[in-house]
Amino acid sequence: MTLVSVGSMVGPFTGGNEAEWARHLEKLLKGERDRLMGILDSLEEGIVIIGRDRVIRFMNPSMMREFGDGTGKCCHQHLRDLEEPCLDSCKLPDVLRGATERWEYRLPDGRAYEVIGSPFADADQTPCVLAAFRNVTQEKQIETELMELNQLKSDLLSEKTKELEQISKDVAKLKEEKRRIIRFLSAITHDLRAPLSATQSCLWAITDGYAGPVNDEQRDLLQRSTRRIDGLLTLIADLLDIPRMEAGQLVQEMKDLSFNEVVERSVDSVERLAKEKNLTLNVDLPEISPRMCGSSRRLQQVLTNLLSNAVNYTEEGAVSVRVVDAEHEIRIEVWDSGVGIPLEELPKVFQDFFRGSNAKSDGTGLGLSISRRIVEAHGGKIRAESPCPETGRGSKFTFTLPKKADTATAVGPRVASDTTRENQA
Amino acid sequence: MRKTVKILLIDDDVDFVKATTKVLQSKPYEVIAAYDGKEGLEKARSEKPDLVLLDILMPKVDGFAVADQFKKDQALSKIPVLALTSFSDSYGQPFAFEVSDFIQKPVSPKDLLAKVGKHLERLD
Repeated sequence: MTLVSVGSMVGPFTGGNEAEWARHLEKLLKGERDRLMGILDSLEEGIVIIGRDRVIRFMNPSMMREFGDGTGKCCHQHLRDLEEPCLDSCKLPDVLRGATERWEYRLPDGRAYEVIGSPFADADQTPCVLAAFRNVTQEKQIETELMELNQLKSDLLSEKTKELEQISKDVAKLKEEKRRIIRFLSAITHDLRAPLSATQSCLWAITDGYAGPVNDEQRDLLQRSTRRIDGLLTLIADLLDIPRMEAGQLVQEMKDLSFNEVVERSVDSVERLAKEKNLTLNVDLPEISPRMCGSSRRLQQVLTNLLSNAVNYTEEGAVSVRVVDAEHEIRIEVWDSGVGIPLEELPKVFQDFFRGSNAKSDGTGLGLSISRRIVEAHGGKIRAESPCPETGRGSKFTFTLPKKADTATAVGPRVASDTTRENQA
Repeated sequence: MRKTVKILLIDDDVDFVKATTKVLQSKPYEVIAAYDGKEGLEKARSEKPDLVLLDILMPKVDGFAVADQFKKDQALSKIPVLALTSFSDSYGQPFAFEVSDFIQKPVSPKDLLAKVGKHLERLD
């Protein structure tokens, strides 16, 4: 800022006597001073001039608003509320030696300032420090909050990552455990079944006369033996089916299949026995075989189980199977004219090892519970009624299979609780 | 007409082999027994059977490996191989090897003879 520029504001001196010249100069100086004070007044930064003796020589209004008027007081007392100058961190000596310094200045109440200190010669030419204080409290607060948020974020992230790692470790461990159990069961089953299977082969060879003639009495005893072994082989197979199914193995077997064929194969397997007992076997299938995603081997197991139960527990009359192709599901009904199931036993027929009061001696009590697991693994439901509502006798089993199997929800421990509800309903 | 049919039965279960041999011998079949995979392959090469009954779970060389060897060996690849499976062998997963057919143990004499007969018929 030069006088000339102020002069342009006051206007040029157009000549006159000495007194007029003095007045003109005074006017010029006053203008200059007003302008400088105006600038200092309107500055948002706080300006302070501190002498070598650390006494505050000047504060602009903004500085006074921030700290109160401290003119004539020691800077450490006024600005920092300290008895002694803070020698360790004080930048004043550096600035007095001619350096421009920047530093941050924080107050216990949370206010924060960015300070630029420059060397300055006061009106009396004594070296002083001119310091500009910019209030950065809000910026610092936001910065701090951001930092805290970032810290929180990374803390959460690392925590969640750790949790995830632990979960995937647990899952891997469980999977390995499951595989181990299945391998173990598989080995046991093989060891249990192999001798039975060999015995069965020997007995069959004798019974059918391949080792010489057999009389009726001998054949009867041999047949009794083979029936018992057959029961034992089925029991071992059934026992192993449960952990297999709970390990979700069934899902691996599922593919697109034509349902009528499954029914036909199951019907084939009971045809001989039905004929022997003089029972009528009614089969009612849709003209166009419904398709679905499932395990044909397992669904055939369900149907064969229901049909052979029906044949086994019916002494006269008929066993019927009907397949209804509905929009989203296939409904399969198997009913008979047999002894039926006592009302109080109905809710229990799908439980493991349940043997009804009408049950025959051979049978493991697992057939229906395995059937239930198979149906549920396909996302379907199974229920039993007795007497059959249509005929008023025997019993009726109905199961549904969604055409698009929701297999994900159907396997595992959930199955058990769902079924309990189903049974109580 | 064919002369006597040669059947190679590869199974480590001596009792099963004994009973099955009795059943097969009721037909004009000559039964050669081998009690492990290695012996089975040797006998297959020396005896040139018309049909092979092959157990899956065996010590040393198992049925899977034997079936593979049969497929690879030109002299053996045309011989029908019927795999004898136990309930626990497959464990619900399809077998990942090529054989002509599967027979699930235990098998009744009637079913065994029917399957063997069916595959021999195809050879004629």
